[in-house]
Amino acid sequence: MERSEIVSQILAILEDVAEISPEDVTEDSVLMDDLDLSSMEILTVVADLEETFGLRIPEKELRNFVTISDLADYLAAHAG
Amino acid sequence: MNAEQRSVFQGIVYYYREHTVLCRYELTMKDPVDAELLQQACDEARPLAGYFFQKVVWEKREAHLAPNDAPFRVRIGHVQPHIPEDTDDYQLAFSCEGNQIFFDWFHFLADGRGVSRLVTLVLKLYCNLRYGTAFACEPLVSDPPYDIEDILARYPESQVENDMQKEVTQTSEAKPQLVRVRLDKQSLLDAALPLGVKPFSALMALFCKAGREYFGRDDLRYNYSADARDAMGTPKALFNCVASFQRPVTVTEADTLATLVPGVEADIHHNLTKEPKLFRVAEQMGWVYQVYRQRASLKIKKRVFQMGEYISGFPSDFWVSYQGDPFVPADPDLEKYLTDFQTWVPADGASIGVECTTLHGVITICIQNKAQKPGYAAALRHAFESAGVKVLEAAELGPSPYTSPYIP
Repeated sequence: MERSEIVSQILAILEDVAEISPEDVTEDSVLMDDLDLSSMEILTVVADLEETFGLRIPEKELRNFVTISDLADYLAAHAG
Repeated sequence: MNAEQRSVFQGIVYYYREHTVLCRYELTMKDPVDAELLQQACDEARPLAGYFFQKVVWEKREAHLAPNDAPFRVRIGHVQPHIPEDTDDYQLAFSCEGNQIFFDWFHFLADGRGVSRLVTLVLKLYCNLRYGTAFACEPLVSDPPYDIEDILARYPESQVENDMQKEVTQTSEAKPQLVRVRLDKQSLLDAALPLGVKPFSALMALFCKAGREYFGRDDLRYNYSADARDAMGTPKALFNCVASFQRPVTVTEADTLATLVPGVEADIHHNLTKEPKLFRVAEQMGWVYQVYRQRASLKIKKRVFQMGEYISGFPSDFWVSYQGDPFVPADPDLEKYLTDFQTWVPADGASIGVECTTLHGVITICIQNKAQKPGYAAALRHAFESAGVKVLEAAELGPSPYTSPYIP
């Protein structure tokens, strides 16, 4: 899957979970600080991404997800 | 949250876990068990303990208990059933083989202290039938469920955000191996008394010492669970009512029971009081409550809960549950009909899970170990004997036969 498609999926889930418009998000957006996401929201996004991409993200990776780009990098490297 | 939701709230945790937490009590009677009489005892217990003979009904995103009209059948053999698939939707099962009675239950319904009241009742009914004893068998009455929303409102500071950058213990998840250790209880008391500490503190300190030898590192993290009924104001609760505490510890080669136990004792002394227990319940159950209230599928809730539990730092190297006397209320007359009591619980949230009960002056420690290396029994023997605690048995029993199926 193209990276741009992965980012689009992330933004769609983000909009669904936290009602954040894709126009307000860039790849450099910091999940907690810039987007003001709670732990619950971040984890819900991650769980939804697992469902969408059909993979299981090890818990130890969670701390590496600081920005949208971090999520996209991981999915680009590990998704089908 | 209404009363029905409250009654199963703490048990919901066990639906959010990845694997079904199926627990087992293994009672060895002094004589061969009569399966028909055990069936009769269960049938007589049913109207006295209706709570335990219900089934779980899921509606949309919520679970509640409902009457189960299916016959409750005592099983023959020692194989642990899958609950509720093999048990007509009952959340528990009795089975027997030779001199042994096996009691299996899904943790959703009750914790060890809760189910012990049922096991005590069934055993008394069985002894009345088998031996003509006259144990009084009163109905099991439960306190109403505690209100988690009240507790969360009382301790708002307990609900801080999870820190996603926190260091978390990486648990081992190899196939569980069983280890069983038996200690002479009096020798543990004799080791604890001169130090002015609780025997449980001495036991825990020695687990830490053994942990260093076994894991080969100085820094460890352990959990211990405490019955929270008194703090919650629900002393007769049949449902889950547990607070779990965690503590990091550094153990050096030179450490002894005397040097390790003061820290353990101070921590336990502080935590096993009303306010810390309530605060801890608020901390633990606050996360469950957030997940519970989320508008998402059960599958998503489960993953969110599991990841949240991980980043909260809950996983540990080992946890210890010390139940002491397995019967509630304790009854020496009843205990005369048993020769052994063991408790087996999956090591959920830790590499090693430890369950301790006492009977006839012997502490029986049943361990499920997911760390992929031998030597834990030897490390425990070494630690206990170094403190003068008499080890009656320290055995590696091989792979666990107890099932812990994945929850779909």
